[in-house]
Amino acid sequence: MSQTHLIEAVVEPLRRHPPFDRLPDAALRALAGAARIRHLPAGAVLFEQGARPHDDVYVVRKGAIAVRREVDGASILLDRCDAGAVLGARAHIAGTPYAARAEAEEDALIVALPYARLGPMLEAHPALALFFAAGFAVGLPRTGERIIEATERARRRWALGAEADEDDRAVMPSRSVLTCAGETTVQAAAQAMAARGVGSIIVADAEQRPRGIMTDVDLRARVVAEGLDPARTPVGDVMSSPVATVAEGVTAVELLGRMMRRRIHHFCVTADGTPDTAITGVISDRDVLSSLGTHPTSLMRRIGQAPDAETLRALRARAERLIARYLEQERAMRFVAGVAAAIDDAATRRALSLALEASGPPPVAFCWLALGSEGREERLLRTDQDNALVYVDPPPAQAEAAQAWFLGFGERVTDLIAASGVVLCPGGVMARNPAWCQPLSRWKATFSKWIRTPEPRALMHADIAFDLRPVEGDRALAEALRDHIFAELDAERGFLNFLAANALRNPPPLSFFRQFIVERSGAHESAFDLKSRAMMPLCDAARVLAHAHRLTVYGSTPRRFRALAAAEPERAGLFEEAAVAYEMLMRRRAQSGLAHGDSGRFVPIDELGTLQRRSLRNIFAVIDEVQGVLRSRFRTDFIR
Amino acid sequence: MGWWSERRARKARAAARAALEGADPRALRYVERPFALDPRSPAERARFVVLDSEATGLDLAADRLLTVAAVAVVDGAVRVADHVELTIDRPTVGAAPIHGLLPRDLAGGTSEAEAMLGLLDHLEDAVLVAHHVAFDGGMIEAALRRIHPALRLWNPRLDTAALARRLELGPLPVQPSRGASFALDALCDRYGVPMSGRHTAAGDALATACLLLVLLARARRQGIVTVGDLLR
Repeated sequence: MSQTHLIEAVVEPLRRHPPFDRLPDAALRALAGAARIRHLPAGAVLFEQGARPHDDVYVVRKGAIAVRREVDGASILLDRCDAGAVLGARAHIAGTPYAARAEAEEDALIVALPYARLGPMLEAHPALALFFAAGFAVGLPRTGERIIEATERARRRWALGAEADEDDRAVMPSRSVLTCAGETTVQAAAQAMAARGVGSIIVADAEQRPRGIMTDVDLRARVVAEGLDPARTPVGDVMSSPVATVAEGVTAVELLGRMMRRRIHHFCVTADGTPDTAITGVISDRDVLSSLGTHPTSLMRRIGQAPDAETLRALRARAERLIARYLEQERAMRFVAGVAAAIDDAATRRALSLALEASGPPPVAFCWLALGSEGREERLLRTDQDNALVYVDPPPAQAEAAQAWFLGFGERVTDLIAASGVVLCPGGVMARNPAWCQPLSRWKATFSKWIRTPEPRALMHADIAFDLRPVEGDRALAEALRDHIFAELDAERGFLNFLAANALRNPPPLSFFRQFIVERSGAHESAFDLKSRAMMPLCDAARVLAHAHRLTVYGSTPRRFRALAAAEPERAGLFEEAAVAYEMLMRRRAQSGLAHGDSGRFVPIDELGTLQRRSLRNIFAVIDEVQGVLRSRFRTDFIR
Repeated sequence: MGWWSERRARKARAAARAALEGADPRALRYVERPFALDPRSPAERARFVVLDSEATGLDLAADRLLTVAAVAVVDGAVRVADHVELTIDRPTVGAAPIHGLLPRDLAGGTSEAEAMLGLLDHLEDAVLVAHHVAFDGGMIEAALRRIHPALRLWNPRLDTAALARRLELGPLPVQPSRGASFALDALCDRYGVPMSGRHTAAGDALATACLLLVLLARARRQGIVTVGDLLR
């Protein structure tokens, strides 16, 4: 009983942060009992990019650690970690060198936990494995935005426990298992693998009980590298053995821990889960990971078959819960926004096909366009509709009839979408409105008018319309429209200057924020307008610059910035930061929206943690620089 | 406090060894252990045992130790596994109210002699560190004398309060005039050392150990490099 107070003093701060808040006391104490606490003076390096993983995984106890990644000679700041952040775990789990360099930005105290203790816990405590897997289970790189918010997780409900039902579903094994006998030659086995286009073969005995596995890696490392003759070597000599076996009905979460801990890539499913019964299937790491991420696919399939708006509404509500969970699991923003957009599009397509069933075939080909945030694939939650319709110019005699048909169709579609839970646009920016439902020639004329005679009201529409994205129908119509826009921009160069000046109307509140950071206790009554203060400036700038470069990418502001980074290598660092900053803001806004059941536009200032304040301040610095690019490139001063 | 001549220490230990003939083997082991600490070796190479104790009062002669918690600092890191917590079963005098110890908190403790011998086993030849080490060291020494009059605390001692004062105000004893406090709370606050489990011996020992890490880094920057420099 006597040796516990000191360990408790080590445990207590750990327990305040995920994933340690999920560990049972005994495990946490065992871990803390083996901890070492180190002091890093400012500037000292915790680990170097490319170095082999140390014996320990690090938790920041106090101070700040900067995580930087060297890419093509440029050093990109991925993250600033403070209290509670876990560093260096990924390298251990993935068995790769450190992907970034960690350096103390200010004096720091670090708790070092031996991975030899933490690793086995991945298997015993699935929540721990899920925590570390959340970022890269879907095969996406973990980006800075994920790590930077890791330290904030403690303040949020980490909804993996009670609500993890969907992750608890059994993984479906693949039933077509390629097997061979141990005496089979490596060459014959490799030929069988090649014929089936698979990377592994299970070695089984006469009763089909698994004895081992030979994979592409074994072929490389144990046959070719060793100089063995594939025509003479039996598979039994080079296979990996024993093979990991599981019983039917095993869940992804159960497998995840074993997979990560022991770097197992294939599991043999047997009748009783031991190697003593016959093989019934195989589960690969890909199956496990995709089953953690498949729900959107199955949801989208069901959306595609929804018989009515009521069903669509229920499915969209489910999708929204899924998005909420992804946000809480800190999945990469690109993935979350991608899923949300895919679901949005699937629902829109279903509404279109339901409307087509009712309206009959269209008189001419058309293309359905998503506009505004939906066009940018940035609408994480159901807000309101912004859409338009462009159709092939009909013969003059049929122009009126065609317009009537498409307006009726537009009304039907937008009503269906509204019934599925996305309210009609209060500003009327929808394909049911004659201004937003036009043949291609009239659309071209509309854009020409906006570009050649920019006035503030038109500019507001232009902001929405310049983010158009084809969702369904004849994409060539959308592309013809875009080509027209680019041609008009070439002819009327002043428009982008005007758009740039418009994009600068919200300068970042740098001074306000500095003061705000000093006055920690003040300003508690105010809320911060995340949308107009931070997101719109970036979004507007990306739109202007993307059009200046005539970039043909559809989609999100981060995607635009990343395309800009490729187009302007000398500013790649800034644009990459802007992309990450925007993703962080999207996440923050969505989380705030979920927490308060609103659009998330206003964030109560007292809800911002120190780190969020600091990261917001950094984001403002990025916005300031991006706006500087606009200011120097476009003659905005003449216009203002 | 301070470094003492190796020769004098050796003589005192030889006398103690003779006097302790037949005493507890742990006491003998402690006395017979050769002190391997080289004053010229880098300071962070030494093993430090950072300790905090609670006692019935502040009088070295009359008061008694109640709890002692100690954790080692090795190779510049606090090694949590290398710690000891001792509760002394002697609830006859009322504990100082600040510590909030109830008699039942002390139930299951060990005798003072048992606790001290356990502590010696843990100390080995480490540098004993405490905040105001004169008090903790003095209480331990008094307890050791009660076990055997010849038993002394041999370990060199380092006071984190004095070290902080030396680093901030220079080597000469200056009056810390303008209110800079050298209390543990104030120093931890000043040097960014978080505290948990405050006002328990274990919590304070851990905080003091973390403070030592910070002070050692600062000392190195100020040219205090070797064990000898540090204990001077």
